[in-house]
Amino acid sequence: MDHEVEELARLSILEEELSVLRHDLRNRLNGIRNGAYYLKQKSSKTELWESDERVPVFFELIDDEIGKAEESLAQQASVDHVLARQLEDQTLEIGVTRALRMMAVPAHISLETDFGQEATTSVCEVEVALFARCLVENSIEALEGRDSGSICVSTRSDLDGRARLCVEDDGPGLASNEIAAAIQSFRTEKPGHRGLGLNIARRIAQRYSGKLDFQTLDAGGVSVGATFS
Amino acid sequence: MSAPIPLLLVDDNVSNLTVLSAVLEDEGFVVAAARTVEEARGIVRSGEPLKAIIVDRHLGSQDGIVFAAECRVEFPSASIFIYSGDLPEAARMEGIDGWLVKGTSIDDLVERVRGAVKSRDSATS
Repeated sequence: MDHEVEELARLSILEEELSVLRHDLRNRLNGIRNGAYYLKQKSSKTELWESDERVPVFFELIDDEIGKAEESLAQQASVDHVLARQLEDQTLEIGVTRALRMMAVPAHISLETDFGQEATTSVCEVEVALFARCLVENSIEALEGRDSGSICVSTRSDLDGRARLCVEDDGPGLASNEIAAAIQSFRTEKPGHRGLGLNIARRIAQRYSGKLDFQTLDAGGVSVGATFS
Repeated sequence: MSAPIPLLLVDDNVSNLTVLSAVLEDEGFVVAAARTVEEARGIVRSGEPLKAIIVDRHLGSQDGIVFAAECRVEFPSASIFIYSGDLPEAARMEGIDGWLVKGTSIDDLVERVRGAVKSRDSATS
């Protein structure tokens, strides 16, 4: 077992749970703020506004308290501050190799690697390993129930010289309208899975100013990847 | 007084949808409200002459940015905004006029939407 990758995986799951909580609470706070704004606008035109000086003060208080709650959410409901990221100049191949070393791939699936010419990039090896693991696990899930299947993990520099890692499989693929659902936290139709792998991969890609991209392959299956810079 | 601005508001959070609709109507917008992409598509296809569209980033299992791109095709001259508690996704802003972060004051929100509509009106007149 790779303890560093496992630890990052645990923190990443926690971060996804907190992210859902942050989103939900921000929505609710926003509803309260907008509702208070509406009531303030209406009551400011009434006699009450002039006759009771606490009314305008209390509206200010509501707005201030919502602002503080949002600040607390952003600063405290996150594991970002405990994520120790050690960036080193290296190829993505190193992280991919580390991920594959610890993975058990079912016998009916052939797993290949295609390491092309790749410039070194400042990356956290553990993050790259977890990114690759999440995408390969996603492909293995996509191939569940089939007699055979293949997965290819590739790394190379793209045309702009940025390091790119992608995982292709020959599973059922994803329609464009299924992609948003696929990367929504805790949404999966697969029993025993939590539906977080692609989300964790997406969050790692975002840390490198990139995004997770999906491409449906002509022969069936899907290619999921990201550039790291 | 300026002419009312027809606006489509899409948000799957009913409280936000109800409250923001009321606030925007008070600010001179004529609001068509939808909770889902399907409802919103119905409004878009009904031929309402929308000048502004505000779409929540996360609409259940659907992606507000993908729907915003659909709207851009139907309404090339409308001002389209994503409304989200998340920070802007710079990589996915093509065809979108702006990103309204939830928590932005209503005054700022209204000013940005009005400003975008006005500048698109000026560009097309």
